Amino acid sequence: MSQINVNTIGARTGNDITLASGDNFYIPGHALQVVQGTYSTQSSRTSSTHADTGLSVAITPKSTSSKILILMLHHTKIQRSTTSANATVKLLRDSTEIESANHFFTDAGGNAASTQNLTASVLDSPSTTSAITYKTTYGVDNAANSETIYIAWGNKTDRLIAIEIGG
Amino acid sequence: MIDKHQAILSLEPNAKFGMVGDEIVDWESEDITQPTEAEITAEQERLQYLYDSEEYKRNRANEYPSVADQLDDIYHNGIDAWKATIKETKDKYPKE
Repeated sequence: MSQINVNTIGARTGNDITLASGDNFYIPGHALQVVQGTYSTQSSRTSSTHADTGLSVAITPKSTSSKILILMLHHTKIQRSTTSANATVKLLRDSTEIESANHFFTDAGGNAASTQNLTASVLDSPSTTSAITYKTTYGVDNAANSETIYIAWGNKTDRLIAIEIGG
Repeated sequence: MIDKHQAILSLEPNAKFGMVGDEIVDWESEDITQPTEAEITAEQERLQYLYDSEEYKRNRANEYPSVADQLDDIYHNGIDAWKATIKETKDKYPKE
């Protein structure tokens, strides 16, 4: 592999410099690709055993040294027919949990209910060039008193964005 | 570690509030002053101390024979034998 050392690269004509089709340009610290997964169907869960939300995004890193910045947004509602409601959304790389976001609400008057945006951001280092899938799961803290967590509440769009950053 | 919401509820049992992670995002009790972070942390540490100081009780409770087995022990072996059995667990998990 040869190396060119220059201080400035300029367009020979016009103002654009274009990479040949199919070729990749690796710049450490710069975004190499962006992919997004969305889910807009309001869904609920009443079990403490986590299940897939339906939100996922697949990405194939271009280099093993790349980092993947994951941004998660879930529109959640939690409710329970007693004083406190508690539920969690987990973020996984394939089957490995890499982050979790907890939503809690309490009302001494009973019938706790709350809507919030649950977010998470993770700078992941998957060290692979094989396809990986990021996804979320959800579950309540205690499957009693009708404890329920909704995602994509009001059919708002939940999002999972994966940005590959050159390493 | 004691959850932050447990500490807040210990300080203000009638408060109505919501949290995302460790952040209070919704304080709906206008008649109750929201505790400061320092007050919450201090309460977490106090509750954690109480929890840790009673670890011996939890360990003993997990290890004692069932009540039915203890009654059977007393019936067949007498009070002194029963006390010796119970003492083994008490000695294993002494009161701090």
